[in-house]
Amino acid sequence: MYDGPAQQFPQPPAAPAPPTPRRGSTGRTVVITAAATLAAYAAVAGVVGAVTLTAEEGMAGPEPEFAELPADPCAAASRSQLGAVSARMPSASFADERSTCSWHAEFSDGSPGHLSITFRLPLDSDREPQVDESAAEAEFEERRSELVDGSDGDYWTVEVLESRELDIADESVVSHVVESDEESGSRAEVLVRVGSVLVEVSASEPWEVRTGRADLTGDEDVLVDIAERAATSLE
Amino acid sequence: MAYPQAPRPPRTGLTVAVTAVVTLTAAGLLTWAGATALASPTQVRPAPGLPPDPCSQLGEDTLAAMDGEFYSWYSGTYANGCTWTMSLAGRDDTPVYLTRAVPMSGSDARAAERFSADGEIHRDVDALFAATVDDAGELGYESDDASVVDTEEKSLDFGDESVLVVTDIDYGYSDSVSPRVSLIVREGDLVSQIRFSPLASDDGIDADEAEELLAEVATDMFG
Repeated sequence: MYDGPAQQFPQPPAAPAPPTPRRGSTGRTVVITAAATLAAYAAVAGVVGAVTLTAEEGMAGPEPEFAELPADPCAAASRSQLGAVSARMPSASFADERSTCSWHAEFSDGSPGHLSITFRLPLDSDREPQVDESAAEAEFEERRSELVDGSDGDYWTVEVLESRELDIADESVVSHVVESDEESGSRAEVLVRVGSVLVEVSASEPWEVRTGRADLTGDEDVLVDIAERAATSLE
Repeated sequence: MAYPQAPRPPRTGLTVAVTAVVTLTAAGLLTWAGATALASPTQVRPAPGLPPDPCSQLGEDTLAAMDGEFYSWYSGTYANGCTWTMSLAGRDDTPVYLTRAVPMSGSDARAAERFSADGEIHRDVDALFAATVDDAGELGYESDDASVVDTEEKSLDFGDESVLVVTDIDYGYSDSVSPRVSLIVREGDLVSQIRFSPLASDDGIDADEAEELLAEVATDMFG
């Protein structure tokens, strides 16, 4: 039995392994390439997306002074409600006494117009906003009167086409009016009082192209739905 | 030593390139579709080139130096703005308005045409700048009583181009005219405007005086 060092016989140079058969390798190349490309894309898109989202935070600005008013009034309506009137290009505006969002919209009769939601507090005698339910009741009554009875001033008249009480929050009303100075514009509005806050949801013709002849009755259900959702968001 | 010839290698480079392009295209389309779906009407997203947070355009030191206070602000897709009250031209609580806008594009511009009496939507920044300067020299609304008496324009050195416009308005209820000062500045695709109305006076003010009044605010914002 040989138990010495392992015998070293000269070995022929190892033949290079013949290339493996290529069947199936194209598929593997495709899979690997696609995965690598996706990974690289995800990394780049993720960074760009994060930077974009951070840099373009549209609602960056002073916070509302009163906690009763929402910091993001454009989120008061749902996407499906906004879709029902083709609302686009939201614009939010804020002052101490109010938060508003308005959109370009197209109403059920095909006319263009603005949809808007306003949350506001009544002003006191110094024109300062106040959180006071009785002041809000008085303010609601003043606005309700205009929306139910109309008004007839020297420079501004409100003609009521139809109106009715609603059952949203503390008190509410919906009204269709034609507002006129030298020209006339159509408007539908839902007015709601939620404690010390007034919520106004309106559909109106664009100021520059108003006719006073738009038929917004087909949009009333959407306005009422939005008002209900907006009121609930405050409760 | 002869070995069996391997089958002709496939064009691996070409496969990789084609796969990468197809994958990137698909991923890009999906991302675009996702981003479009995310452009929700429940959220304000400024168009490219429109910086958010207009109220931060004026530094706190300048605001404090002018007894300034925040009053209101707004934020839309193609425009945003902020209003302060400050001590200016010897008057406390003068409202000072900043508005900023970029040109509209695509389907938004087509939609907005229906909202404008003349259907004029500014799709490029030169038209937007020119229209903003023109508007600064006009009353801005129909009136039987009020009218523009005089308008003076002066080019300044802010941004890529800038014009100061002093518009003297006779509101029809007194003998004096009320000046209105507007500074319009273009920076790339962004057109900004600061506007305020000094107290009415018998003499009015000229563009040099108006420039001096606005100097601190304008330098802070655009200097």
